[in-house]
Amino acid sequence: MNKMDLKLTIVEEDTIFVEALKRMTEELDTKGLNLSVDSYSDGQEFLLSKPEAGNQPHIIIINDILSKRSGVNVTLTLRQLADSQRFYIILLTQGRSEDDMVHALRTGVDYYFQRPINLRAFQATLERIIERQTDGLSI
Amino acid sequence: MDFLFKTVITILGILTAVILLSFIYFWFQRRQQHRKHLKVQTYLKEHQGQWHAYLVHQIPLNEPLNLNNTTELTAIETILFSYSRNFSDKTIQTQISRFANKHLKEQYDKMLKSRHWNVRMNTLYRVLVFGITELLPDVQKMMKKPKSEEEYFRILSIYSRYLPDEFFAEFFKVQDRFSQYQFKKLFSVMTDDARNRIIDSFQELSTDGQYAAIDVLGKIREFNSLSFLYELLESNDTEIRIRALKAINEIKMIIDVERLMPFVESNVWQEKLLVARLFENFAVEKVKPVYLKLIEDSNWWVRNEAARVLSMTKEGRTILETVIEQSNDAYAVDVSKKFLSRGV
Repeated sequence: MNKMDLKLTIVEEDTIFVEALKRMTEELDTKGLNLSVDSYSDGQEFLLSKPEAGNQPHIIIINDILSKRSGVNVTLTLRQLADSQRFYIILLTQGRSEDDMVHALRTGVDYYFQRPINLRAFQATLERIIERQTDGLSI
Repeated sequence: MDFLFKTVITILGILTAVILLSFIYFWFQRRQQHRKHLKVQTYLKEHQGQWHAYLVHQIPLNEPLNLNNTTELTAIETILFSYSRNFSDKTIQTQISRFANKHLKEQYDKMLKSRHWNVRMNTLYRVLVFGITELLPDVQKMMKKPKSEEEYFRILSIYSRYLPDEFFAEFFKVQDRFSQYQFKKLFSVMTDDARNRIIDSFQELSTDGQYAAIDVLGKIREFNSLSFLYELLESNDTEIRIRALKAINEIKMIIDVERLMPFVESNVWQEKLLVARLFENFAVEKVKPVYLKLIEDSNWWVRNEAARVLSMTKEGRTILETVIEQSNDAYAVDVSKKFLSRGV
C-alpha cells in the first residue's frame, strides 16, 4: 500500500525549541504516512520556500512573533491560495489577548497554543490531527 | 613654535595610538565572542539530543560535564532557558531544577556574592527560573540587606514562588511601593497556592494590587478563580467591575447569568460592551432581548459590538434582519446593515 505524504513545517526563531519539536515529531505515530519535517527561522524565509508547491497535506507550526512576516501574516498569505484547505496551521502565541486570538482564528489559523506549551498535550494534538489524516478525513 | 609643533604631534600620536589600540581591543573581543558563539552552537548541535532525552524522558546524562568551561556552561544554560521558557510540562521543569540544584549551585553561589550588580541580578534570575531551591538560604541572607531596589524586587519574586510564607510576611509590609506592572510580575510567577492566598487577601491589597491581581487571573485563564471574579462584579469600584468582566471574557465561561444581566442597563458603556462580548459564548436565542437592547444603545462601541456578535451566527443574522425591518433607531439599522453586508 502506498504511504500518504504529509509535510510538517516549523517556523520559529529559537533553534533549541525547533530542535525539541523536531525530536518530538520523531516519536509521533506516523504509520501509513511519509512524514517530512522542515524548519525555517522566519515567515519570509518560509514563504520563499514555495509552500504552495505540491498538493500533499501540510501542517504548519508557526510562532506569532517573527522578525520577518508574523504567523498571522503568513496565514493570510496561505489562505489566499486556491488549495489553502490542505494547510493546517497551528499558531504558537505568547500571552495574546482574547481579541488577538479571535483575530488569528478568523484569519485562518486552525489551532493555537499559548507558550509555554505542554509538550505532551502538543504531541497528543498533533497525533490526533495525523490520525484524522490517516483515517482519510481532510484536515 | 617648534615646541608647540612637537606638542601637537605628540598629542596626535598618542590619540592615534589610543584609537588603534581600542580598535584592536574591540576587534579581539568581537572575535573571541564570535568564536565562543560558534563553540556554543557546536555544543548544541552535538549534545541537544542528549539533553532532550534528559529533560523530557528523564534519561540520565551519560557524558561528564565540564562546567568550568564557560562555553559548555553557556550552552547548557541556553538549553535550560529555552526549555523552561517554552515548555510547561512538570517533568521538564523538575528535571531543570534537579540538574541546576545538583550541578550549578556552587557556581551560582559564588556569583550571588559578586561585587558586580549585573552578575548578582542575572544569577538571581537563574535561581528563579531554574528553581534552585538549595540556594534559598543564601537568597534569604541577601534579603536582609539588599544592595539595590532591583535586587530586592527580584528576591521578592523568588520568595513569591518558593517561599510563600516569607513572601506574604514581607509583601504586605511593602506593597504600597509597587506599580501595577510590578504587581503583575509578582502574581504571574507565583504558584497556584500562593495566588489563591492573594485572592483570599484581596481586600488587603492596595488598589493597584487589586487591579493587577484581576488582570493576572484573566491572563493565565485561571478557571478556579471564576466564582471570585463573579463576586467582584458587585464591587462599588467601576474599574474593578470592568477588569473582572474582562478577565471573565478571557476565561470565556458564563457561570452566573443573573449576575451579568444588570450590566445591560449599566451607565458605564465599557460594561455593556463587555457583556455583549461575553454573551457571544451563549446561544443567541436565549439572550435575544439583551442584544435587541444593546444594538439600540446610545454608545457607538456598544451598538457595534452587539451587531458584530449577532453577525457571527445564522440566528444572530436573522435578528439583524429583524432590526433593519422593525427598529425605529436609525443607528441600530445602520450598524445592522454594516455587519450583514460583511458576511460571516
